[in-house]
Amino acid sequence: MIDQDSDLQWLRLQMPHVSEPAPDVSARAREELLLHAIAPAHSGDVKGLNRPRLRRLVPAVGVAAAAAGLALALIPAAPERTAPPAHASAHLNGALMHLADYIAANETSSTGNATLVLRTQSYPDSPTITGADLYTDSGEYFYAETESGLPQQIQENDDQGGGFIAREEAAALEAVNGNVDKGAYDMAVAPNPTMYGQLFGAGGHQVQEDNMTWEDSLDAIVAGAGNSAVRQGILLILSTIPSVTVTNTATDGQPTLTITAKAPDVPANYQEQIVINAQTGVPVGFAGGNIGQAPGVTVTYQVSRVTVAAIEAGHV
Amino acid sequence: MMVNDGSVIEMSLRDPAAFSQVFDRHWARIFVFCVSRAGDAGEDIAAETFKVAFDRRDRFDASYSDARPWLFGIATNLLRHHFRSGQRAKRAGTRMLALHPRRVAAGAGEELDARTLTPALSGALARLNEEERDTLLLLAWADLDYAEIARALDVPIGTVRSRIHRARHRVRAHLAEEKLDD
Repeated sequence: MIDQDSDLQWLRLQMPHVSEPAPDVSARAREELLLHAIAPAHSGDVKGLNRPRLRRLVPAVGVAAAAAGLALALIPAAPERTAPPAHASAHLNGALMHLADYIAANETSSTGNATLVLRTQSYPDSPTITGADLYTDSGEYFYAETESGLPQQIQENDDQGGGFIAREEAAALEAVNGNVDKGAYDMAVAPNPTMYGQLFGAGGHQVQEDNMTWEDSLDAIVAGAGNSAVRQGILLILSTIPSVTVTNTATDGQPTLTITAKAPDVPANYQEQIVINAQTGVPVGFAGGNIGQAPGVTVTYQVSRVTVAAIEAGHV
Repeated sequence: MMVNDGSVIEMSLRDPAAFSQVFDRHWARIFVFCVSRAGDAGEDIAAETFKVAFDRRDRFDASYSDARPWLFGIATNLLRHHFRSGQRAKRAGTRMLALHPRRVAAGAGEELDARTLTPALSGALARLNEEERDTLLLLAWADLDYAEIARALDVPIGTVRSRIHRARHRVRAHLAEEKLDD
């Protein structure tokens, strides 16, 4: 006999007995979620972003052969290496390695203690967005829409680096020190080493890992634009990504290299391009969009070395 | 100190992998709820719940510290879709096989549930419409309070109260009949 006042209790007792999910069931669902998390974005999702790209993740669906459009003509001949790094990766883009060598041989000491990047993002049907990104050499990142907003961000210590910029730059330096594959892996997991490490560490997701390496490298080459060693390392890391190609271009009359990633490392029929100075590797622009169409977004970068104190004081 | 769900979800807008913390915190409960309602299919529904939540995380109000109502709301919508799809297939099959018509209660989604539910519970739930059933089970099985159910189903709290009142009344009536039948 059931007491009518206990209907809720009765309902609870009637709930089927379901054990907590088995570890393998949970692990599978968790992995599916992580793969989903790094796969849904597409060319349109940068719209409205006022901060840098920061892990704009894209799916990838296969493996293509490397197609290195070598861009040697505009790159000065590199000197002999005294201690060439050991590149274990099967996908090495000669043009990028060549420029990395050239940067290493022509390294100059940089002034200041931070890199200021003035960014302009343009869209076909939306207003242009500006951004002033200040990356300190100690890994902090301050953002404002315009340069004039940076002093307040610094004074409020509104550091948005979260440690990942430092990890990305460390990954680039790992590559410079001779371990390019480790640097590429560290770059892929830099946003969250524990969580992405669980996904990539076991293997079997090389394409997604390459996608992450590409996306994070693009963040890092902007954040580390003022550090020649970081630029060098990123070029070495990018040389390991199968779909990456390099072409000679010119931007505002200056020789540039356009580095392009296509499927499978970005979505099918989509491509992303970072344009760098052909002799220094400093980024000057980015474009992303469907192949054969006008880019869905273009970005220009104006990079300079500064001191945090000068920016905080409003002097540039 | 553990960062609350709202902050984690906000963080995941910049770091998608951070969303796995939401999974780690709530997966087991969502899994049990979905499997309780849909049997084996509940496993996929639970997994899908987190994918849908991830895709919609930019709409989560980060001022809420607990994501459970939001997740149970998504799970409930997916379960509803699952049962409706099952009903459509069942109706098509029924027509094709010219089976005898069966008595179908309003919002008879729980017919699929009947594979895993006890006859008594199945009979009680069959008296409820879809909205009443979802609301009542969020109270009884998901342990959400009225305010949380309102958030989960995106309805006013007064609506939750009236649905639960009606649902409990019908369940009690069913139990009384069962008792008489005994």
